[in-house]
Amino acid sequence: MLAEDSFSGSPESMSLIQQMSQSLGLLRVAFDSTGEAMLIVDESSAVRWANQQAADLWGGGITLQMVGRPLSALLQFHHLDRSPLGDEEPSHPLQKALIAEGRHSYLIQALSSSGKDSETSRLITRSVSWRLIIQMNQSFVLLIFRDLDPLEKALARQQRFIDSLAHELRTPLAIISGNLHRLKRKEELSDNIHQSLSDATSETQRIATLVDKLLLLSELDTDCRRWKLQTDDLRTFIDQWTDNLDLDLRSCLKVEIVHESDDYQVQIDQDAFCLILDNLLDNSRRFCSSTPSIRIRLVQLKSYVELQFVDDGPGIQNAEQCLAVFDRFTRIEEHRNADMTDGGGLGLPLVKSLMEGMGGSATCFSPQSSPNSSQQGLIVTLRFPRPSPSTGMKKSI
Amino acid sequence: MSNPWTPGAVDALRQLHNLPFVRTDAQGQVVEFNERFRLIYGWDDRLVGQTIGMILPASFRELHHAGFSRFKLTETSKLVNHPLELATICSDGAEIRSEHFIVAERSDAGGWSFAATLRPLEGPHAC
Repeated sequence: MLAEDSFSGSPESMSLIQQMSQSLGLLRVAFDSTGEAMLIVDESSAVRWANQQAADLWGGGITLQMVGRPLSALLQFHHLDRSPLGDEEPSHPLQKALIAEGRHSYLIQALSSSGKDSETSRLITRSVSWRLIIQMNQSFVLLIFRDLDPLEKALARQQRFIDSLAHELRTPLAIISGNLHRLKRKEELSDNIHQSLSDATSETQRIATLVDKLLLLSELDTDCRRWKLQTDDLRTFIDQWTDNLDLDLRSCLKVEIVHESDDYQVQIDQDAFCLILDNLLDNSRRFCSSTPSIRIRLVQLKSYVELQFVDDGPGIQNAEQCLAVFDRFTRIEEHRNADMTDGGGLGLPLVKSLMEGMGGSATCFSPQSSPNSSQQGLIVTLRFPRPSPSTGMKKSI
Repeated sequence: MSNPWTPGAVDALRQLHNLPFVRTDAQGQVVEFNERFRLIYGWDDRLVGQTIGMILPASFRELHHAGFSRFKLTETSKLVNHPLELATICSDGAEIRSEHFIVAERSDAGGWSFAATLRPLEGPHAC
């Protein structure tokens, strides 16, 4: 306490306190002068500290009036498609802060006490960054709200353009595909023409798949995907996925549980999870020379449940490529095959984006890149955050 | 008391409604308070010389100290001449939600003091 101690201390300590008081004042002036709104939120999601910019936006201009109030009573986060973002959703900044520091764009609505003020109910776009702070055994989240810079605004426009383009391409692709199928049914065509039509059909299908993936990536980039999160045992989600596979594909898979008695509860979107495993399976089938042998291994860790998707394909030779395969349109040169068209280069990037959208992560590793390993293949590791029993930000800190 | 706080009317309202009042020096140390403040919030003369932060919840103290330090540098504050609804701590640790109206006053010698007139919003003395 600065002031409490000021009377009882020695002249030296009083001088030190005065110096600290001056430093505190200077810091306060600096924080209040910045164009960024800043908030520190405590374990119960209540505001502990705010700067002037934050108070001007959400606290009636008075920082002190924000202290102790729940963040959800002051402002509402919205996805960029304007739908409200629930406090418990994994893409909420307070939930994301529990996993790692980061930044994303949101629409933000000030919540006035009357609820009728049209000015305060206006949605504003802000780039929001978050960081978990541990101070004297207490956890806080620092939130910084910044107006988008010109580059970010241009990126947002570009993402909207991709979104529109993908939507526009779907219809003509469906028409082309339908016409090709009709032509292929004509018996009077020569074998060569039939082959050409088959090639055209498969290429059209490839483009349609690429467009679907681009559209999904665009949705994830612009935070427009509607997540349907469910909490259940990861083994149940895997069973639901395998139930929909062909028998041939199912026979390639083997699920290994490290300890059956462990807790594998996760909170995920089943559709997204199926897309992730579909993409990993497609990837393995593409690169394994014969019928792939795939193991799905589950491991319980302190903060995560880990799913390892292990195939017996050629794998990846070095750590640099293991990172690069999650970049869009990246193809490993030695995996290219003259007898086969290239993949879209979007499968693993999509896996990564879907995992991050659910608060998890995706990485990969090849055992053969270790000097003493005789194993071969690719191990894609998916990490799912473990849900906590209580609610809100407090639940997981 | 339906009439809202206004800077010019604070003294008159304080007299009229016999409202609690507390004053601090430029360092934020309590220098005086009235009988009404003593009666409602239970503090005695030992509060004199203590920081005014004593009557605020602990979570408010960072902003309180920073605000005082800031005022010393800039001589401006959004808290003065503005009604603030804050929890106020009594001597027994109880909290009474109160409206604070803080006025910064400059003495002839050039030093600042801060006078806060309070309006309890709950409890037996709510007005």
